[in-house]
Amino acid sequence: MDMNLQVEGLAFHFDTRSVFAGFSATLGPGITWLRGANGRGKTTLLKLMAGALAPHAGAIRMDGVDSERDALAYRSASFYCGGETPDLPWLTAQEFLDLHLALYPAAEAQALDAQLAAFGIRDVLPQAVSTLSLGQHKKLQLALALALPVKLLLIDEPFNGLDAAAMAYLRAQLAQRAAAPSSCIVLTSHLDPQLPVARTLDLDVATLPAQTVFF
Amino acid sequence: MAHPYIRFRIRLAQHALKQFAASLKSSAQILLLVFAQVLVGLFALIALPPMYAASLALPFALPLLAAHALLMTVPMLLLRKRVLPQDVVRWLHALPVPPRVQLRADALVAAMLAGPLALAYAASGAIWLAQRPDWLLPARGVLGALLSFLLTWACSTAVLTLRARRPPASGRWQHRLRAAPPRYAPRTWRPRTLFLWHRLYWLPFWRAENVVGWQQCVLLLGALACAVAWMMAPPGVPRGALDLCASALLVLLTDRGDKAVREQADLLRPASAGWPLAPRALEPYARAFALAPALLVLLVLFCAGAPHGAWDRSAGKLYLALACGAQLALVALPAAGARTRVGLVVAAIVLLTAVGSELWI
Repeated sequence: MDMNLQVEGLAFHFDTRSVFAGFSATLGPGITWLRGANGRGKTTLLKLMAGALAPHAGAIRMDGVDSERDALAYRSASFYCGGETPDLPWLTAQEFLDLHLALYPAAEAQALDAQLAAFGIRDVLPQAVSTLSLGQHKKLQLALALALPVKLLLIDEPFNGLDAAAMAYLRAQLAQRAAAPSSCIVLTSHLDPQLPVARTLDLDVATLPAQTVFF
Repeated sequence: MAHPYIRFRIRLAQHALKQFAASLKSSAQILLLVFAQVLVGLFALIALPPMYAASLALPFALPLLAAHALLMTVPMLLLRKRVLPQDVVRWLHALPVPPRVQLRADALVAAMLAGPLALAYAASGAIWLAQRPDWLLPARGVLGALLSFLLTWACSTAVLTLRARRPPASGRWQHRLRAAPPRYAPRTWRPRTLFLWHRLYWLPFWRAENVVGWQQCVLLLGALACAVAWMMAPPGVPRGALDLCASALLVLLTDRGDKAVREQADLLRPASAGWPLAPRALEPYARAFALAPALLVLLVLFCAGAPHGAWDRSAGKLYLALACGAQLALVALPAAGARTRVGLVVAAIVLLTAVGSELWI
């Protein structure tokens, strides 16, 4: 069965400004390229889709699982990969990965090890995450993201800070994963991701009030 | 006109001090209400050690003056992270600021922090000059107080300079010498809740700039020592003082631990919001664990007092019940204002000390 992500009448605002008002969209399997100018709400939408932020109105459902009502089931099937500063700066890279493996019990250590080897970052495992370079930190997050058995993968600026070899590897991995009908990948990128994109969601157009976007 | 870097550092220090003062505002009212006389007494005495040291021969005077100056530097040492946060220190490293300007900025900020101390020295010095005790040599006394203050200022400047020049790497706690493993092998254990608690509510208190782990160790050792001494009643130490210290440290141990856990929970909230983990899955366990050190102290207190029959009488039983009740109240009460919290802590200490004083009557 094809994966389906529905965003219905989404409203969200920060203290100082409104980001979404009545935003709706339907996403299916494959890669969705989320575009928009700075400040249009790309990262906010990714976090809302990941269940990390709660919508003020509206609903987000993944295969019928509501991001708020069935929060744990929803989050077990999604992963947000983003942020360029470590959220848990007191952990080493090894401890950071251990923590996520404990949070996603279905994840396999061998798959994660293979991703770490492919990104060439096994040697950073004993290091504090706060001492990793931007590229190393990005690779660590991507290795984890690609190893987790989640249906919805949300990646914020996946190519930032990556070297050429890592970019090529990531493109191959995302294309391979996107081919599965049960997998949905949403990524933001200011540049053409050079991937087989199934759909493009442009927030410069789509965040107008009560705008509904179908793809 | 001052160098922009100096103006920035002074503004940063002013902002930090305003924030610190705001955080103290509510609790300071209660502390002043309860301990006003003690605080006034301490302020009156602040210039006594250097003035007394100045009346001694030089070999005795200099170590005393230095020790007093170092002691007066402790508040600056504790404030350094507020005045120079770590992210600001990292950013400062990239600025093209000449060392001389950096040193001037450190000295000016240190003077700003030490300013209230100078006022306290002046007031206290005036009191002692007016009192004119026999040992006081007025001119040397004033010079002694001045020298001690200058030493404090120099030490404070050094503290800030060292902080500002600190290497940018913040992971000094990491296992630098441990070789990278040939492959990733997870190091998790069961039960999962214990594992997650260890990663999210234990490790952060020992690493990077967090000193809560060591602070709790010091409080725990102090509480244990005072509790045993209170029950053993060593000669020369008033039992009432030991009662006060043991009761206060017992309450502070849980108060500080619970506060650290609540702050850590707030810190984790944005990161953990997207995790497949119930929002309150770990916090109750972490809060309950904050009780453990105080319960250990109570157990030791009970064991040390039992042979002396301390708990046979109603005052003893009341003390134990109040001590347990106060710990539970501190941990179980929902987040209250700072004033309520300090009120609860002060009331618990006063009540416990009062009941404790009845144990040996």
